[in-house]
Order: sequence, then structure tokens, then C-alpha cells
Amino acid sequence: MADLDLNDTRNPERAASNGLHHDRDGADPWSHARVYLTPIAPPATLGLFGFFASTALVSTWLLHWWGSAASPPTMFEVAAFFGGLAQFASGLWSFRARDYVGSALLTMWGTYWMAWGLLEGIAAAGVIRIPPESVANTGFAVWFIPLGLFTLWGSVAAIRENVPLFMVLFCVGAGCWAICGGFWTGIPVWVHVGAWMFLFGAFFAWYTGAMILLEYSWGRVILPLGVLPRLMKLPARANVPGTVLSHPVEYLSGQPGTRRVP
Amino acid sequence: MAVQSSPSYGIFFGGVGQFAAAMWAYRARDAVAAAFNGSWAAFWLGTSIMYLLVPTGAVFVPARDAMFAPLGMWFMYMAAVSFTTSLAALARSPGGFAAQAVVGVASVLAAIGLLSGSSGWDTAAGWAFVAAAALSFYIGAATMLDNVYGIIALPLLTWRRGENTVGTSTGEPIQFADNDPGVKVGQQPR
Repeated sequence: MADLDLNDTRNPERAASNGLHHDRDGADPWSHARVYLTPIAPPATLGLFGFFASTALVSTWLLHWWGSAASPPTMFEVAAFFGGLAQFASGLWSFRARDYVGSALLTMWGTYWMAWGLLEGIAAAGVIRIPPESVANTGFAVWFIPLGLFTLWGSVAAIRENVPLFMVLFCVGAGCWAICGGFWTGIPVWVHVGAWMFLFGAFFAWYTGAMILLEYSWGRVILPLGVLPRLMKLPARANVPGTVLSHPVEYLSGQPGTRRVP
Repeated sequence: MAVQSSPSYGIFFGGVGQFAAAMWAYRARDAVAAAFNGSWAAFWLGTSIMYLLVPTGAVFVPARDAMFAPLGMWFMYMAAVSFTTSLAALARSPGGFAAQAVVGVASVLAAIGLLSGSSGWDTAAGWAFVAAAALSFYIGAATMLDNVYGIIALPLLTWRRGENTVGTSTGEPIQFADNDPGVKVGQQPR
């Protein structure tokens, strides 16, 4: 196994080939380059809660558990901001947390809920008409092709993370194809199958958000993190409540940002 | 008229202002505030815009004390979120737990009232939200005073004994006191 030496001032060409370029005068780039790691609170919880609430609300409505055809004009506003803006923002913070799955999937589903809110909003204003689910609506159905593709792909990546996150992405990703088929053909039973899968995904989204939030706030595992040993990154003890998994850098008597809460 | 004039305030103070605080909570490493304030900011933005749209005729909102299923359902999910964040807040602050748990209880009462069209439940929810608002005001006010004065002026209602004893120093902040804002604490020369 070759050594990777990014700081080889005796051999600038080798260092450059390892990913760093020296100045024209051969100066060591590390002498004026610094990497700062700034800790933040885990961003995924807000986005997962927004996804949970919006998805569960609309799925149960699609399953005719409550409401009527007149309900969407008073549903879309909170969905656009909670499932939309809040989830999108938590996805942007996930870039800062260097979370590949979170940044990709939370921003994508945030844009979906903002788009759905806009669609229902202009329908409420009478600009467009949204057909009932028994009538084919291919323009809406195609939304779920990229959503289903990218979400299922995210579930493959989540196999390295934890079971609850995998379940969120798998249920929702698979549900997208059923929803897509339902709206494409105008066959409500497929829409209902998709709504059920979304509902399961919403429950796992709440669990995943809650387990991350509680572990961070209490400084130890409260809800089991759903780790399959050897397959996933975390050790098996991440499934045992009370286990301390992280040791934050902090200045206990400092101001917010210099210490972790609690 | 109250319904027509209050949404604008809800959009910006309950919505934009609270959302900005939630975003800064990430930087302050406060996961509870990021989740709780972010969720309720989104709720305020959405419901305020919904009521703002009523006079345009695009949105119909039932009369007060009538059944209003969509809003009732939203309150149910906001209750789930609030109870979850309150359990997380309990790790550090029984005061924060109480404030968020009362918000959760108020949301449940509001959900029952709106799903059943019962004015009694709505009124109970209103009083519970007033209690939650009072607790939230106290925690916000105590945090501000304690940070500005450098001592515990009002108990912070946390598990740390020193944070509940009036007169206790909150410690020296990390700063270069004769420098610019951001390097020192605050904006005024000291």
C-alpha cells in the first residue's frame, strides 16, 4: 500500500500528483492552508419531521381516512413550508454536515413538497384543474419517476447507515412507483398501495428523526439506532439504550456554538 | 377583521423570524431548538398564508367552532413533533420540556376541537397555548438577561444547579474584548 504524502516539500511533483499543487516558488501549501471543522446540530431531524407530517397527512387523505375533495386548498400551505421549505433547509444544512444521503434526499423531497404546494395553490386559485384520481394524470405521474429512482438509490446507500433510514427510503422509493402507476393509468387502487407505502415511510421518518434527536440531546442512545453489525458503519452497541457513542469537542462554560447541548 | 389582519404578523414573526432562529440553532448546536422552532415556524408560515388567502376566495375556511379537518390533522402531527422534541429537551432543561410538552397538549386539544367541531375543546386549546406562550416567553427572557448581565438574573430552569441560582456568574465568554463584533461579545465598546 503506497503512502500518500501531501506535504512532500522535497518532491513537489509527487505531492502535486497526490492532490496538492505547490506555489510557483515551491512553497509548502500547508503553510497557508487551514481546514476548520465547525460542529453543528444534526440537521436531518427537522427535515424528517417535515417529511413525516406532510407525507402522513396527505397519505391518510388519499386513503380517504378523513377529509373530502375540498380539503387540499387548506392542506397545501403547511405542506409547502413544513415538508417543503423546512425539509429543504435541513437538506442544505446536511451539506454542511457532509451527509451525502441527507443532503441529496432531504433537498429533493423538500422541492417536491414545495412543488406540490404550488400546484395545489394555483389549482385553488382556479388557474388549473386537478382531475380526480380515477382519471389519468400523466403530467403529475411523471414527477414520481425521478423521485422513485433517486429515493430507491438512496436506500441502497442507506444500507451502510441504519435500518430505519433504509426503511424510510425503501418504502417511499417503492411507493413512488405505485403512485406513478396509479396516476398514470387513473387506477385508484395503485394510488392507495403507494399511499400505504408512504405511510410506512412516514412512520420510519419520525422514528429516524427522533432517534437522532434523542441520541444527540441526551448524549447517549435512547431509541435503538437499528444497526446491523458489520454491514453498517456503527457498532452493534448503537442498538443498546444508554450507550455513549459520541464525545463532542466543547467548552462547557462557553456560549452557544462552543458547547454542545446539553 | 382579526382573522384578516393577524396572518401577516404570523407569517413574519411566527414564521420567518422563528425560522431564522431555527437555522441559527444549527450553528449553536441546539438540535431541540432547530427541530422544534423549525417545525412551528413552518406551521405558522403555512397557516398564516392559508388565512391570508381567504379574502381572495381561493381558500374557504369554516366558521369558528365548526369542524375543520385539515387543520385538525396538522395539529395532530404538530403534537407528535412537540412531544418528541420535549423528551429531547428534558435531557437539559425541565423548563424547556414543560414549555414544549404544554404545546403538545395544546395541539392535541386543538386537534380534537377542530376534528369534532367542538368549541369547548377549542377554548381549552387556546388556554393551553397561552400557558405555553408564557413559559416560552419566560425561557427566552431568562436566557437573554443571563447572557447580557453575565449572571443568573432569572433561573434558567435547567438541571444544572448553578443555572438556577440567582446571582451566579455565567462565566467569562471567549473573546478579545477590545476588538470587533464577532471577535468580542456584543457590538458596543466596553
